[in-house]
Amino acid sequence: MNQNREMLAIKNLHACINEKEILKGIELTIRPGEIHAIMGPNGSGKSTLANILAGREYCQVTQGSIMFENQNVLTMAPEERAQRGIFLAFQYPVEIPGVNNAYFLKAALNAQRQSLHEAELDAVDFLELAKIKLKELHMDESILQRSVNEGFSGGEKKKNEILQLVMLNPKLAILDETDSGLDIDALKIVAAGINAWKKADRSVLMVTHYQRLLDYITPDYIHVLIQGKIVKTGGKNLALELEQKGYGNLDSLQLTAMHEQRQ
Amino acid sequence: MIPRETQPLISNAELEKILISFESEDPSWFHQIRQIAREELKNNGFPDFKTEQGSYTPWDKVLLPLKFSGRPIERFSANTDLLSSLDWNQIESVIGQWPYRIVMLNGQYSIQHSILPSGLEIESIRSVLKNSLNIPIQSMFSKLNLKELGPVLNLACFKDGFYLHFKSNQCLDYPLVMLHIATQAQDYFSCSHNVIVMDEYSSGTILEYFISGNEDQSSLNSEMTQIYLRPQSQLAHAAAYLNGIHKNQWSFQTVEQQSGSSFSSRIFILGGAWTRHEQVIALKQPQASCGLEGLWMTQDHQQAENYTFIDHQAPNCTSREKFKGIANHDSVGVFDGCILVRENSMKTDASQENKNILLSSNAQIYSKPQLKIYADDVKCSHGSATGQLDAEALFYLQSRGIHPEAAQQMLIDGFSREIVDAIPWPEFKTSIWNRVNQFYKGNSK
Amino acid sequence: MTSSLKKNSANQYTDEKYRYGFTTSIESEQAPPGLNEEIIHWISEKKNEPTFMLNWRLKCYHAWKKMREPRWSSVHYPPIQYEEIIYYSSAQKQAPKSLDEVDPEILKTFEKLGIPLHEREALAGVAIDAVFDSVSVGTTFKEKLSKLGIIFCSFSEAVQQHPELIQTYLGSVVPYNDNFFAALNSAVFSDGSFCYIPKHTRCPMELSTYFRINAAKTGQFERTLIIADEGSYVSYLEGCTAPMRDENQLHAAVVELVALDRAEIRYSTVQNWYPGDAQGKGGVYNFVTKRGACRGYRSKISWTQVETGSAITWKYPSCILQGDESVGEFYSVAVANHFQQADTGTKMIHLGKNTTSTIISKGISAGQGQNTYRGLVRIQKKAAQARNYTQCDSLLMGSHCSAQTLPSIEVKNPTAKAEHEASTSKISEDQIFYCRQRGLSTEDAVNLIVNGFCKEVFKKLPMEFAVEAQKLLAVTLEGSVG
Repeated sequence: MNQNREMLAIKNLHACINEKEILKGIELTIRPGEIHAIMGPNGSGKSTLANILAGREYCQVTQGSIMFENQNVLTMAPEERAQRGIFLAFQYPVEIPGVNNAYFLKAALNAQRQSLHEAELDAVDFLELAKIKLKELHMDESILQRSVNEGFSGGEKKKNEILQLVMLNPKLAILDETDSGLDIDALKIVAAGINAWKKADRSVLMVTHYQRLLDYITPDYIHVLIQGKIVKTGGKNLALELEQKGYGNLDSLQLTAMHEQRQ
Repeated sequence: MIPRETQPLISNAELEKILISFESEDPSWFHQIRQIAREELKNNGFPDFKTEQGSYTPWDKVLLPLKFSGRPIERFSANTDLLSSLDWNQIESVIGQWPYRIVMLNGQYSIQHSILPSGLEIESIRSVLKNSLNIPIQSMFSKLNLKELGPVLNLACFKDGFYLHFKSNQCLDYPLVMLHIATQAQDYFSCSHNVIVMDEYSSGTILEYFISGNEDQSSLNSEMTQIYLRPQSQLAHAAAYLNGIHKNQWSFQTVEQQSGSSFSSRIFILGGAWTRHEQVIALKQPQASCGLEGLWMTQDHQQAENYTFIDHQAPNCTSREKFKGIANHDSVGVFDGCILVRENSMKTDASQENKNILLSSNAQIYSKPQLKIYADDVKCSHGSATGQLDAEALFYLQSRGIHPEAAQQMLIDGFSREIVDAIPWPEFKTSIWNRVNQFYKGNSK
Repeated sequence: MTSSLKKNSANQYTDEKYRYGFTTSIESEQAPPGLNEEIIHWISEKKNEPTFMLNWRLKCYHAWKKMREPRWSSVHYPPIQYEEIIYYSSAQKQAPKSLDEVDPEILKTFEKLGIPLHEREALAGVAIDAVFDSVSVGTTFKEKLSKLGIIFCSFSEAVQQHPELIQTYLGSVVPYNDNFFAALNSAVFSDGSFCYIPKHTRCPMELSTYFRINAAKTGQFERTLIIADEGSYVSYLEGCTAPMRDENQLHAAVVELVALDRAEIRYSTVQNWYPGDAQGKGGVYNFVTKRGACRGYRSKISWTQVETGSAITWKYPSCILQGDESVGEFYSVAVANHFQQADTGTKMIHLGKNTTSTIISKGISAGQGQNTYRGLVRIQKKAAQARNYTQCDSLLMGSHCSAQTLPSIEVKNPTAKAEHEASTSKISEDQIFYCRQRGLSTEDAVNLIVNGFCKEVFKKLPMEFAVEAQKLLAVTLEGSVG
């Protein structure tokens, strides 16, 4: 496998929400097997970036490009991106009353298989697979029979996202604040699930506010996003530095970014 | 489906007599409106049991006092003996002491008994109708919906009432108490009409008390209040119906709310033979909000009715309703509430809750919570529950040695507490609690 | 009076959206349009009815003439010209005696609809009575059922073979003067299904009626009567389709159910009459009176309906809970898309002690659709410990549709309890995006969410019907969110 092949290439990405520019020229390249973390203060545009990658319509891309395996992502519908292997673990997973979790997962899995011209899984095969994955995640089987996220606790919702991740087995997993609202036990289960799923050719993009998740999932690169721009990139130690000194020590960079914003 | 042939409750000849007794000197513009109401009354007559809206109401009893209204009402208001016999100590023991009050005596505004806050514009509606040069009062009256019996009867007959005007930024330091006193010892029908206008950023509180003795004769009072809330104004309103056992009360309130205005209302029906409170609220501009609460308790042959109609005409408005009721003996309780969300009223947030308790096998409860939704991006819900006091809880209390009657009262207090505890005016709260605590005392059949 | 015999020309109009919209070209015998005493005599004569039936019809006709069309519902439609309606249309001059005598064209029609009438081809486990225009064309599995003492036949046949049952129960649940449309039906109904389950018998298969309106300008007035004797059980399915025609067709049916001691009747409907086109032209006016009487101790009647069709639906399947501890249920999904109007709900009248009722109503409005839930829960004085639970949920799709929830709750017994809950929601963009992020198309996402919304009702339907209902829902709502 060519480790230098680009999986995701974001070039000069500018994006707006309600005509307010949130992202101001993001450059980011992720190769197969890499784990990237994007950190930054509230309102810096982290979640916007995650949502743009997944195809959220309220974020308008005004400039730049996103290529996924040399294909233009920006022209793809959200479901096409998902079928090609971009997975977003939501910060706030959505409740869908009355829709059985197993049924939902099976429909998603078969939509993906259909797009790859693979045979659909029948209920028996699906259930077998789901049970194996649940066991690996140390999760209870009863989650399959509940409605999608309905009445789930914060931790259950996040675990359900990880169950979907391992079932759908994407190429790129985008984790949007997956650690928020998790107690330490749930965090360990979630992280273990991600680590177990993660193989040599799978990549991860974590969007997070804190260092916490990075204790369990070790990133290859950390990017600091401030005011819509990546102001610093470093190795895993950058996170520790940020944890100790806060984003404040990046003041000068921040000021530059603000300066640019005024222009 | 088969139309029932019924005798009209009030014949046209009787109606003619009633209307003549309520003749008054109207300015010409108002005379026309009055005539329309009177024609409507003559053409459609009084309700029989064909109409759904009044199907629970004992119209024959309610409207009986009308037949006696041939006698001129002035006779009573001019009766100084009756006025002087008003025992303020006794009245204040019921309603508490308040710095401001407007007294309506048998449906007429009584200046000599009222204590008005300075700076507040308050006038008799009669003089306002005659001299309404700088007040858009003509359009207020001409826009009234004359299809329902309540407002039609009121407009056809009312002779007095008050006009209250809060100027921009005016804030009233204490609640304005409106005291409706009925003092008759004879059948009678009275009718009053009020207008309240709150200009931008003004705020105030109006607390109404309805009190009367337990005379032997029945009476009917019709009161209609039009309320206009200009942008960002706030009105807190509460009404306590503490009438005697032969009094019929029909209140009709219309509220028009402009942007950012807020209206809160608390209705307590804790007395009277028949009491109906109707509220029609129009949320005409964005960000307006209203909250309606109510508690009623009935016993013997009493009947309490709450009608609410909340009309969401603009986006981003909020409405909340919570009505609770308890019926004992042969009494009847009605909740009929409708939320209408018109097209384009996006982001409407409306909820409606009605809970009722039956204490006796002859009591009846009618609950009609209704939603009419014509916009999709809205949050609307309603719930209604009717049942008895929790038998488990009753048993639990009794097993701890509490007398069944006291146990029942405890649970009734618990049921009412949600509404009563939320009252922000301590004296008003006390007067309601006193009534609620005593309501079924020594009266169980 | 002479019968007019004419050939119906097939309407060539087709539309993929409504796959039942074809017409069948067959000889039919029709009454001239309009209604008078003569027509009623003629219908009764055609059907060779005993005198008691004729007299009953005439009584109903006279009651109807004095009644006015109800106007209290939320539905709007141009006045129905009752004088232009053909009140009787029969594909055959004589009722067929066996399936072999049925016009092969009609059999083909039912094949196209997916309802095989030949027993050897029929799906195991479902006995079907098919009603074409106004006349029953064949009942399957009759013999097998009759061995158990179960009577399942066309109404006309029941009038001939079991007049004592008809005389006892006809009009005993829905009185002849109950309402305008029921009275009209009572005067002119031409056929329908009849079912009697003897004591302590569990009907071994689903009984089913399939209704089909074919002839143009015809009203369909069928009547169903089901009697479940003590300790018996029956599950009954009803399906409906009609050709697509530009004019509105009137369907005014009456269904009466009687459940005696410990008997249980489950009545499921998938109503897919032609709803009219996307511009609101044509479609069936569905004015139906359905009522069940739980007469016996611990008897149970359960209505489940999926209403996807018709331009106008006006129906309130109800339960009169007379027997102590009797149970009434109403589970409903009603869809109003384009210009459809649905005004539906139920009445639960609690008379007996410890009676319980459950109402679950799911209304879906899309396009310019209008959906109204109208319900009455009345707990009478003697219904001690009666319980009612009602839940009404509305789903709105688009900004031009509407949903109304109009319950009325009357409680006259202090030991009773009635609860009502309702909510209104829309499919949120977040929900759709979430599904799409997992690889589902928007359309699949909408179907998934709508099915989730209706789940509580669908799970009350027999298996095959539930699948059919889901598919229908998907077709009905196609393109409503995009």
